[in-house]
Amino acid sequence: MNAQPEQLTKTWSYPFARESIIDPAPALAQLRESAPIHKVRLATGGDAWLVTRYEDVRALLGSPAFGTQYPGSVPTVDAENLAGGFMFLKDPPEHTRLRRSVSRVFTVRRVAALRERAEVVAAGLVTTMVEKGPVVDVQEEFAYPLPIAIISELLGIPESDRARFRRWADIVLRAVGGGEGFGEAFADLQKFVVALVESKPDGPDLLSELAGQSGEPGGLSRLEIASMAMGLLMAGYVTTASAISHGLLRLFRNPAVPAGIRAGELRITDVVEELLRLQDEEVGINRIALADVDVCGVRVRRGETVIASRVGANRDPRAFRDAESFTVDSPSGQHLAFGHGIHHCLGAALARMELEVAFGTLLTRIPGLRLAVAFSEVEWSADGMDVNIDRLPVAW
Amino acid sequence: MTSAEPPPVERFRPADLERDWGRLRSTCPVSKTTTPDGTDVWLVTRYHDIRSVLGRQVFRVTPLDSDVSTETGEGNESIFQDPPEHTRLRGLVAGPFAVGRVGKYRAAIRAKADELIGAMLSSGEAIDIMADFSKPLTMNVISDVVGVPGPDRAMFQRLSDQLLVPVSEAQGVVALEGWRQLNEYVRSLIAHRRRTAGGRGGDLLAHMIRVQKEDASLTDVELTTMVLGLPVAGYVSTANAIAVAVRHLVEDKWLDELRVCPDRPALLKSFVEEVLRFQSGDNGESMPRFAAEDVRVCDELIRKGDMVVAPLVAANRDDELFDQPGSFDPRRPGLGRHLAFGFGIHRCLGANLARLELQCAVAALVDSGLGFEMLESWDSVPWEVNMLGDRFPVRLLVSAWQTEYGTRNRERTT
Repeated sequence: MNAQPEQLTKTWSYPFARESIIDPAPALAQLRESAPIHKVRLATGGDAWLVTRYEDVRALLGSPAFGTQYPGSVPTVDAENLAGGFMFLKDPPEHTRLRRSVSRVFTVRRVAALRERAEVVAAGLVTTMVEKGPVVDVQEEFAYPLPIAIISELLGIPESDRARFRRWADIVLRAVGGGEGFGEAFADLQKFVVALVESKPDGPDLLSELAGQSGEPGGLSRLEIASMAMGLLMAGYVTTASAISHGLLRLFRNPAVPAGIRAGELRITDVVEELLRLQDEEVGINRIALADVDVCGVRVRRGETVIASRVGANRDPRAFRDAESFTVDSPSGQHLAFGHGIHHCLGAALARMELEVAFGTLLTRIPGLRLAVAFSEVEWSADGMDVNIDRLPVAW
Repeated sequence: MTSAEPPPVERFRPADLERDWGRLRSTCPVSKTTTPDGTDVWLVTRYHDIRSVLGRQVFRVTPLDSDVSTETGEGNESIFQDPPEHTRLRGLVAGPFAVGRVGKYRAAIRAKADELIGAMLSSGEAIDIMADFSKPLTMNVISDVVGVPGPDRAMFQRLSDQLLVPVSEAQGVVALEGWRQLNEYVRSLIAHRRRTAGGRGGDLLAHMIRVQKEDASLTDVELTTMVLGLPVAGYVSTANAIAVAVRHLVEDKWLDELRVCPDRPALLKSFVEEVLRFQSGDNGESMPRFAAEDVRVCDELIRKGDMVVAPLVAANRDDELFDQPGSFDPRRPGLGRHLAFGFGIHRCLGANLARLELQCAVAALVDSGLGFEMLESWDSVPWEVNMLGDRFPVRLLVSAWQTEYGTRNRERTT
């Protein structure tokens, strides 16, 4: 019998200890260079495999041999547990049906219409920021309010309900209030979303369109629509806000980039792609082997978890020249920030649009925008998979 | 007889550098005032009048009542004299500083700047631009130009630094001792070079030794004083100007502007010129002049013997030439007319070298890809005055990091 290579006998703790808010742990690059696959011990308990190279991550995310659930387990949705219906936790054929329905209404035209709305919202937020100056927390004043406003718009939430919708979302998704009242807020939020879907169709929003097709072939049930709405909030709120604040921090660390945007030397779309490629506020996507399968020369048993490191893939020198550099001529869209395969982020176009509007508005309307504290003074916390900027004080 | 005393340091300093030049210019372009020690003096505030004062032979740099006599060897051996002595000395030393001659130092200056920048990240701590970049850089240039041997350079810098200590009483003694030792060192270095190399070599020492062989009128004291004048004139002033440049690169984000500008070489040159215009008054101010006879400046009759001050800071902030002179703008038109190096026969001998040093320092910072952050605002940086009368920032603390802005992006815009 052959001796086992070290990467298979040694177990690494995952996620890796962080030293920086915006840069991945150095261990990631070391692992990626040493071997394509490693065994890791998860902070939450249990073991998993970790793949870190671009081609392997892409292959894993595109492989029908892997799913999001333990083989044979199918979560079910009910009004008290909308999470049971989240599309990103479903496998085919269920996933295929849900995805097809929502893709039909999540159109380019819808994103284009939301862009106009996002520009107005962003401009208003900037105006308020400037009035509140000289130093404001751009995260509270801009990064969170923008995506929650766009999600409210997307879901067609009436103006009068938006404040409480955001309050619940903040308690549930951001632990605002330190976890106090989480259960109650979660229950209220679910009830609200179910009732919201009941009131549809009442406008041109996404939920109305889904509700309008509810009785038709391929249409979704009211409960599935409510679950979808909840899933969009889960997938689209904190992720986008975090991409805005982490992206801003990266721009502050690379001031030639905003200068290039202002000078017309860099296109905002290219900048957003590079920010997405380099972003590191989330760790990998978990996939579960539906049967015994070979990955990178290793036998992965049915039910075992393989983690696809998007950050590892997006900084893999095999896939990107100057992989650690902010380089605007990277092949656009080839990064895996939005994942790959059947679960490729449904809201990718929406997120790109929001980021373009966010950075574009901030940088052009506040030309002197800068970090109000030293970079080393920015408060952040890493909790398991999440890397959270606590406050992002800016001045101009 | 030795030149064991520092050169004359009597400099007029407006008590308030933020004085309202604009108002003076429009109401009283040639006004009467007094220096801090109570001497009556004319203050000229318009660009064209300042240029005229600095450019006309009737305005001398030595007071009329001074009994300077080079024949007796007493007094001033420095180059800061009036013709014909000035003409003779400047002619002897000017050659190596001509624009075509200083270019040979470009590669060495850039290499030193790159080396100092390369060391910035290794400490992982706050970087003092003065101590860690601008002073070692300019001192290295001076050592190259003069011909200070490698092993002596640390001592040469230490002695020169003693000239920079703030002019409190105790430190004035330190500075004076530094001056004596520096003087002693240069004299011994000249003697050593004469013995070992004669006039061979491409540095200033070799040049001066050759000159002395051909022109016996150049005394040893003059030779020593002129060689010494270089660290005195070129060390702090250039280091200061580099610090001012870094301030504008970092605080006003010109570093990033330069990194993305499609015509970087042109913008870099004008950036340096704007730094020079803007830093006038912070350092490198003109010496007072004395009227050799009754003369009119802008309709004001100045009597023979009167002291006249023509501040470069006022000329460079004249809004007749520079639109919104108080703002820093490398893209302003007519930038080339600034008088940061003075004007006339006493125009800074090292202007070409200083300009080259600034350009190399800025280019090295731009190309480094490092990001910088001021650790204290420019307004809170303490300035001191040394015994030569030069103001200088005590420190300029920044933190640095390697930015991710890729080299290929930078190539793209170069």
